[in-house]
Amino acid sequence: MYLCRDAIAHLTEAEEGALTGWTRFWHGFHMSICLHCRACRRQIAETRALAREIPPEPVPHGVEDEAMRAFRARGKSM
Amino acid sequence: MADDAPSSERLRDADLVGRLRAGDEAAFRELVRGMHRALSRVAVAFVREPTAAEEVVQETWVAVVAQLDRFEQRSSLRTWIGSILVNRAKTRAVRDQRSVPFSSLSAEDGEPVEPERFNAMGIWSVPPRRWDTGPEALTLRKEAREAIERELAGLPESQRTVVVLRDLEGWSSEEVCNVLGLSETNQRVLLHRGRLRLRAALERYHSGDGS
Repeated sequence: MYLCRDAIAHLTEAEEGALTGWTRFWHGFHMSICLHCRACRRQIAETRALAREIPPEPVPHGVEDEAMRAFRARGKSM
Repeated sequence: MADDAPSSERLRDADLVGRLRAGDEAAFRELVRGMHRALSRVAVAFVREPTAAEEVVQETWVAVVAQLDRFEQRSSLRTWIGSILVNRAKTRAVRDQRSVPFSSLSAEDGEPVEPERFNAMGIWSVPPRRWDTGPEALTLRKEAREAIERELAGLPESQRTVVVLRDLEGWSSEEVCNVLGLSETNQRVLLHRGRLRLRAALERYHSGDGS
């Protein structure tokens, strides 16, 4: 029987379109009837939305300076 | 190394590559800044040491500039740059005798789901706790984000790398698999486990027992 543990284990596969056949069917069916699993799926989506807001760390000056130097040198050699 | 980048992405890449080849400094600086988190994360996953990783990223940009005219757009620009970085990171790891292959799955990756949340049959015994998502919760958004950031920093290297590339940087699964040399299945498992751990951290935060 396909239960909550299976549905949660398959959440990412379902989202990526990797489930096939009966697993895909039972996953869809289970998600349509289970409030808790839907809540978990929604919370993962909310977590991802928040994670996307994490600001990236700045590029260290040495890295950016060296990259720009190489880029300018390429321009001069053309 | 070909991947199935959507056509809009291909067009964007083609436009950007054209600007880079024409010597557009602003475009290059934007690219360096925009890809830094992804590249440094991948570099750390291979060389393990932040200073060495920074050097690998720096060498990568120099190599990207040198090879720009050879980019044939058979893959996305970030797959191409990511692959240059991985080759350099592997070489550096061997040289520093830190050659730890990027592990697709390891013991530290833990259980696929939170087993203690389900009963013996596989039904929720501790269902997801309700999160306060009212308007006042918006003011706590920064704190919640910090809770996720702390958990992210504590994820096993492989999970963390995949989650950063997919969920923070928006890379496609094809790009992640091509750059890291992962199978689709292993990439999904790492992503899934990482996502579950981040959700659990946010749940603890909402319950008031997160640190």
